[in-house]
Amino acid sequence: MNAILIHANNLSPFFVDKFPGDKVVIDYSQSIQRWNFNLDRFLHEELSNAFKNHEYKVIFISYTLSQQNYLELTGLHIAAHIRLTCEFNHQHTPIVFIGPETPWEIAKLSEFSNILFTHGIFYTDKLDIGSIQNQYNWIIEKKPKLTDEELTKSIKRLQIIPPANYQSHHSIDNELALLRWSEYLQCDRQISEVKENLKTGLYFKYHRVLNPVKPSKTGTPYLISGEGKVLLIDDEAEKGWEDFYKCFFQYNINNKSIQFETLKLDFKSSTQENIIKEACCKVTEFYPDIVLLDLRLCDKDFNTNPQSEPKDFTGYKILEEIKKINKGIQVIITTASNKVWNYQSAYDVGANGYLIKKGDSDVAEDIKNIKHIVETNLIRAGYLKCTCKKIDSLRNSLDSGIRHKKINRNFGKELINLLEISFRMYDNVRTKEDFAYAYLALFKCLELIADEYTFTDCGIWQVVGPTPLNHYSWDDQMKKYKKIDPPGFKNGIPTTFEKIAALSFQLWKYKDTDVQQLYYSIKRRNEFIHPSEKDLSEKLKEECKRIYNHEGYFVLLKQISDIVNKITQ
Amino acid sequence: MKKILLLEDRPGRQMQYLDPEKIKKLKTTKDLKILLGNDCRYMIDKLNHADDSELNDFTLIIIHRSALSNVGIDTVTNHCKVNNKYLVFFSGGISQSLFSSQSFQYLLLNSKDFYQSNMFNFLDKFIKGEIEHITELIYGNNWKLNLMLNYRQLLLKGELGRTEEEFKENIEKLIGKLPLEELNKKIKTKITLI
Repeated sequence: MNAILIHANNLSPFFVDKFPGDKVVIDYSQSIQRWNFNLDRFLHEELSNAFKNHEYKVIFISYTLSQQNYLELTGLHIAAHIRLTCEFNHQHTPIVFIGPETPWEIAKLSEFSNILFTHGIFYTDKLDIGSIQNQYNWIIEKKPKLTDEELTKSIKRLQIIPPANYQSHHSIDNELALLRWSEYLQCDRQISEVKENLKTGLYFKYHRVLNPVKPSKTGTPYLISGEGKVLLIDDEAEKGWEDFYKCFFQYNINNKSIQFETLKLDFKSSTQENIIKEACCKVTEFYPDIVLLDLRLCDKDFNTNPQSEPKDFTGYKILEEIKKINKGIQVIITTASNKVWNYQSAYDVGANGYLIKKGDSDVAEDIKNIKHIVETNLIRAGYLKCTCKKIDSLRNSLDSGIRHKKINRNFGKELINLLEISFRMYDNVRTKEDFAYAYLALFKCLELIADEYTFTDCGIWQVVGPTPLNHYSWDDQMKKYKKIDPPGFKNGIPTTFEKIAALSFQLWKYKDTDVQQLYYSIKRRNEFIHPSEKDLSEKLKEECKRIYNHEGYFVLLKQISDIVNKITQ
Repeated sequence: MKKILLLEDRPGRQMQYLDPEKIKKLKTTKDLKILLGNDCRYMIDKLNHADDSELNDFTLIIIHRSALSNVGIDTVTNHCKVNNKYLVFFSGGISQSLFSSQSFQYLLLNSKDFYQSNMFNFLDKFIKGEIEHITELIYGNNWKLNLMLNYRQLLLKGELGRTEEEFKENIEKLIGKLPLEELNKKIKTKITLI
């Protein structure tokens, strides 16, 4: 008889001795008190040994493999492992359960019993060799092997539920992505536990059979262009994500263009409040350019009754706090969720991108995508972080100026609003024209200042003081600004530049070079709105082009900041 | 009265499985010591440094296994072995509830099974000394059926070793000495009633 009997020394020794096939004892009773005991791993290893170099026609299993706790009914687990594990090479082999109970009785005793009612599963309560031999002969004659279709149907009926620590399908996709991405970069040695779970865990076997994925190719990490600091906030960092990203960034870490750090915290035992607090401390201290942020970071985020809303997720709250620290810090949400509503609400709070961890995606494309997202956001952080800091400091100066009555309250508030509007546009830049639109919004601040500090009295233009507003014009020969006396404003009204130049020289004691820079900033705006018909000098052309990148905005912001410092002192 | 220790380093998970009223009930159960937060961390640190002195007062010890290091797990296991105490380890990664009575009574449970089991009733009864077998935690009223199935397995096996004989005698103390035929009938009836 080409069969194997799987038992745990719990059957009659007489029957076991006489069994006319191979016999294997799978007894875990001695092992379960070990600190790292895992039933699935144990069964996988035992079965792997039992089936090595064999091709049995029938497998006999006792319902239970425990001598002390019958209701464990581990035989059902063993059968499920056999059906789900290709490498055992016995997926299609008929299985006979041995025990005094009927399958219908077992069905009342175990939630694993579905397997009893699938193709190629038989049972016997007759523990005599004659009956076993007859049953073997009958199976070989009538139903020697499951077809592929029967196997698929059987597996679908198993309905295996994930272990409790895989609190949603996201956790499973998360681990599968970690494994496949790490395999691609060949850094999977560091995640031996994850690999072991995925290889031996019954649920993962089931998931893999139902959701087959192409085997991953291997590749190498990219050298990321740009430089900066990257912070990972992920409760699974120690499980392997930290190692993955260290491998991903290895060339940049080696040449010191990227500093990579992880929020070290015992997430599982921390409260949401504590995680948020620690994350904020880390962001303030490390001051990253990019934060790779997982949305679900503590048990509370997995609540199903009532279901946690995305805005209640710990990661979402951290995102809000990071944006309070500096809106320019680029936050990339790393998620295994493909729910659009999760993304949208995080975008509303300022998320700058997503890395979606899926178990069945094209890994090479995923890795390329991470590179692209990181590079794009390093560039953005490069100009947004310092801009945001400047705007925050400007807002503080204006608030202080209002409080100390150095500037008019309405003027100050309007300036703050204009700054915020322009920054919002700057933060949302997608095209080079968008840079110009943000610039125009910021330019409104300069116009507002010019109008606030100049006025006309009986047809005579004045700067606050009051003193008459002088007319300055660039003298190309002298390479400096000269005063035109009497003033000759076109239509009797000074332009924005003429007002700013007068204020610069008369009120703020600027040097010629500073005023010339202000001229370029004003010219940049004017050329965009109504381009000159005559050719501009090369220098002026270069200056005007800066409206289409982040530099133009930052130069103008710095000029406004210097002026605000003057008027609020 | 028997004292129970429950160490859960993930209070958030407790909230996932139990509503606030149940958690309140758990926290106010007399002779049940629940350690959460810093107190829990302190105790876990001690166990992970092989110090089991804090366990002395308790008859039943219930701990989230993943909170402990391998040293901590061995410390707790040895403590229960030496003092013949009941031990329940629960963890999210466990796919099947397992029981062993070698040296001491030991249950290994999935966290969800633990919190959603017969836990409240079991803890109440345990404190009052009314629990006859620790598997009542997982099987509730079917714990006796489980013993009968174990007993039948032993009867069908026939030849028993010394440990198995002891195990059989222990079962007989709880369900009585039953001939196979009568046992079969009782099991059938019990399963029918499920």
